[in-house]
Amino acid sequence: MIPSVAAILAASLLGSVHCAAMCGGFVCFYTGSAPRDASLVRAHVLYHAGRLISYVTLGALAGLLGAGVARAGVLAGVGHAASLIAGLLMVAWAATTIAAQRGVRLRLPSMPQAWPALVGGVLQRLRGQPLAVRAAVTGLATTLIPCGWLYVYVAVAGGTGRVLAGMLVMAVFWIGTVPALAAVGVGAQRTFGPLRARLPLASAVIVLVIGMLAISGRLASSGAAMVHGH
Amino acid sequence: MATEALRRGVDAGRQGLSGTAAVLCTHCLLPVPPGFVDAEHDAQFCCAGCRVAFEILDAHGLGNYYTFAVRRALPVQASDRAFGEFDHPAFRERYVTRLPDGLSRTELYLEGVHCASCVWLVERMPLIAHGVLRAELDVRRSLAVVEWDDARLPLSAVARSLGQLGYTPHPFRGVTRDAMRTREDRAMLVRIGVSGAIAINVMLAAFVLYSGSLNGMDPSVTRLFRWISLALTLPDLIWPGRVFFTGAWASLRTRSLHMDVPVALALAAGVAQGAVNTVRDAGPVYFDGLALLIFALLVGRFLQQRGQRLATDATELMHAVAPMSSRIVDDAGTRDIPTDALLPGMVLDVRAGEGFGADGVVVEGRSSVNAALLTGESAAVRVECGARVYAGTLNVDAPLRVRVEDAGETSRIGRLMRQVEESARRRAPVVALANRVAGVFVAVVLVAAVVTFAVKRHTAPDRALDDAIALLIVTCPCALALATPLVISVAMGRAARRGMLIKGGDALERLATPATLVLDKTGTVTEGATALVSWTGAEWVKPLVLALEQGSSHPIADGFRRAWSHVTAAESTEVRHVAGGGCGGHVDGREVMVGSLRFVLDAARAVDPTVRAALDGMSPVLTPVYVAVDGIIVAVAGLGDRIRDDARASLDALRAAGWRTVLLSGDAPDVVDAVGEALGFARDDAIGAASPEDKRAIVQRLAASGCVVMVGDGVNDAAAIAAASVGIGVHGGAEACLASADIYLTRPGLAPLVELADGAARTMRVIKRNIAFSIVYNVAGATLAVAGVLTPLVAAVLMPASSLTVVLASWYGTTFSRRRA
Repeated sequence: MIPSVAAILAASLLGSVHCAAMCGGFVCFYTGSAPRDASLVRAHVLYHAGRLISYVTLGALAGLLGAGVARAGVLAGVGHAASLIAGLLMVAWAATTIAAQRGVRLRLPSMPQAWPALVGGVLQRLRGQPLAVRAAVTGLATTLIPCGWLYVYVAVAGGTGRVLAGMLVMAVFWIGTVPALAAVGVGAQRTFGPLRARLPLASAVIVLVIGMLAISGRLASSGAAMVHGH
Repeated sequence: MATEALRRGVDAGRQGLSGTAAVLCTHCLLPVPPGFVDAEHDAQFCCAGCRVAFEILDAHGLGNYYTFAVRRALPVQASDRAFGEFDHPAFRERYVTRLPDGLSRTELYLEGVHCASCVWLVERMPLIAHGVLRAELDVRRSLAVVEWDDARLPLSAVARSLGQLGYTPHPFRGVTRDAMRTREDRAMLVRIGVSGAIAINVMLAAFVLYSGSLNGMDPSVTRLFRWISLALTLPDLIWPGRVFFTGAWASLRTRSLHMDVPVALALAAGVAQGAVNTVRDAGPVYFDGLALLIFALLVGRFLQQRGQRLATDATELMHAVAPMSSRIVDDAGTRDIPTDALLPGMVLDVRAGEGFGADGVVVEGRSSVNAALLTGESAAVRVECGARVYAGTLNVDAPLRVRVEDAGETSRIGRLMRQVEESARRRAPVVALANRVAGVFVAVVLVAAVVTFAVKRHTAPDRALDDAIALLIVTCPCALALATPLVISVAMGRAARRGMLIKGGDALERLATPATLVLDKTGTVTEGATALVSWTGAEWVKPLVLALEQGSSHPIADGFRRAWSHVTAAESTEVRHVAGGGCGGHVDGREVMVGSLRFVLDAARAVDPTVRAALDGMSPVLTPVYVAVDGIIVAVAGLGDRIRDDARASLDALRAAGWRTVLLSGDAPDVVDAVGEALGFARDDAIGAASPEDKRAIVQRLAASGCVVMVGDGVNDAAAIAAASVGIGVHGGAEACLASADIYLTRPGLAPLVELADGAARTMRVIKRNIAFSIVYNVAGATLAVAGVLTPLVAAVLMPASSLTVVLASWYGTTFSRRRA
């Protein structure tokens, strides 16, 4: 179990530079011009708690879906269907990113316009709310952004084929993102300087490796081990 | 709804982080994979998440995140200053660094950095200021590092952008040098650590080899350990040992011989020979000695750097006289900024009791200023509108507004300190000599090695290379080229901690031999201020005298006040002052007169018997002041310039050490004679009524027949100090005197002089000891090597041992006391 948790944590820590860059704006949205005191610390805690709740919920849903796929797979005679599908998704994502990185012309997948409008509307309504509410709801709404990196972990969670393991994957992912997001306030660029330019490729390679592990079925067995703890 | 700022941000995104092809994500500023670059749109995104995040923020009026200034709920104190001074060449010279890739870099202190999101905001400067490529903010110190392309954007525009965001920028210089030093130190320590670890391991392997050769170890094990030693030594040579090769290369390019040349040659030859022997599996390997050699030389170099730094650091102690932060006043109100960030034109608000952070002109207020540090004048000077005030002086009475004219290094105190620092780099003749000798030494060693090799090839071919390498390794110019400056630097550093700022090693060298010591009287052997030296009279008279002198600015009144600070003054009425006479008035219903005999006798009819004797026995050095109460002279005070408490003992100690002492003063000859007699000067060596020109001439005459040390404190001594072989300015001295002096004593009194002479003599003794040791060692070592007695291995052990001996002898040699004064 420890190797899987460690691998997910390590990958999450590495990729979290992206989170800091992308979600930094949202952190700034809820802090606004709040003075640096205890209430701000509480707001940060609430924001991260909000994220944890929404991640774990997503993990549970993915795990549930994975469990269904796994059961269907057993009926169809495939040993680790959930893990296989999750792995294929990850490999596809990684391959696209690497191809784009190598200069292959691609289009980013687009979302219906209504989606950003919806999330934006939520944030719009939050502006007048107290700091604590702003922070907590912003945290909860984080999963509404279709971030590829986040959804790779959702795929891993689904690939475990178990609800508890899916929740655990997302919780570990969350732990990995906290340091970088907390660092938004003290200078993220300094913390990750040289890593930034290599980031897209590095994270794609990691996802590729995890994806291949999932396809080979190793991730599924370790995922099961994660829950049973042996 | 793409705002103007957004469009500019997109431009910045296209320009990329380093000005190269990388395209940055409009939202997160990370590089966009080339395949995702969309030529048809302005905004570029690295992933779908960023695009949605951007759309969310942009489409809902939250897009002003990208215009930043509006984002804050608090009213932003946006500055509309033009920051034209940021483009001034002098400004650029001081605060801007050119980077190798053509970009410029500066550090700015930002006002108003107060919350975490400021970091996010400032670091997005590339989006708003076209041409800024990097901005980092250290929120703890409110310090931003900005890199920008000067060809596209002037620094004033960068500053304006920051100002519009609400972060008014100020230049910042204070930390760069410290940070650089820490970095240098760290790099050196890492090198020392690595080479030390390698040396220990190679020594362990050598230990196995030695004990194995005694006990008949299996040849395959021996071979393994020889290879291990080689594998460990090579990285040692390539990384920590590289400094010697770069040093040798630089020295060859400038066609001068530096001690790095034989060291590099010996290291290269030794490692090459060891490697060949390892591969051949025969003959000695010297890796243990070589690894230790690299380690020892690196340690020596580090200690030398540290020693030199101690000397220059001490002068920085003086910088402490200017306040760390200053309060400036402008349209936005009053606020504190670091003194380093002050610029000409700013208006300072300086309250009573505070120091001035920069030179400038008083524009508002009336107060008095204590400029003791610069002029040596202990009394405060009145200032009002239009008067100049200087950094490092103290505002005594009332608040002042001062317009800055010169700040930092261009201020008077800054220039003075720079002079001190520059002359600190001056080399002592003994160091210059040592370097010249070291150059010759290196040449001789190289020739000797070649000759040894050539001759031995015919006489003893199997030993030729070994002996030549042994010669290169065993000879070491360390004591000459390294330990001498090390001793001087360490001595200067320690002296500085003891309150003696020595500007150049040459002064230290000259002070080592007792010669002629010329001392100014006023302010040097005396305290330089009128003091109450004798008092004959009853205690009850004191409050009456104080009552009259209370409001007077006369030096005599000042002397009374300082002597009787514990006495409470009585109430006085109808006080009148008579110029050149004294003062009189009514105190507690009595008529009191204080002043010269003639003035007092106007009203006095009798003399109290207790003071009669004192009237005749007054020393000619003192000015008598009489006190008459109700027509009777009841007290007489002797005021004068008091001789320093430690003067007699210090002068006697110097004379005992062999110094001839001369007293030289502009004061009246009888006063000078009296002081000279009291302090044991020879009758001919107490010279009075000397003008500044006379002083200079006398010093020059004395200098014709030997070394002359001039000690003084005032502007009138500056010329003599400059003319002397060694000039010493004493505590409280004037600026001109400090500037021309080689040594400045920050402790009052003459005791530091004794310590200085003593320490200088001891310093030269340590240097001579080092040189003697070096000569004996090198002659013996070279002889043994040429004779073939020394194997390269023994040579490699001897050499660092000798280096360490001199380095340690320099460090622990008794020069000046290590304790802080």
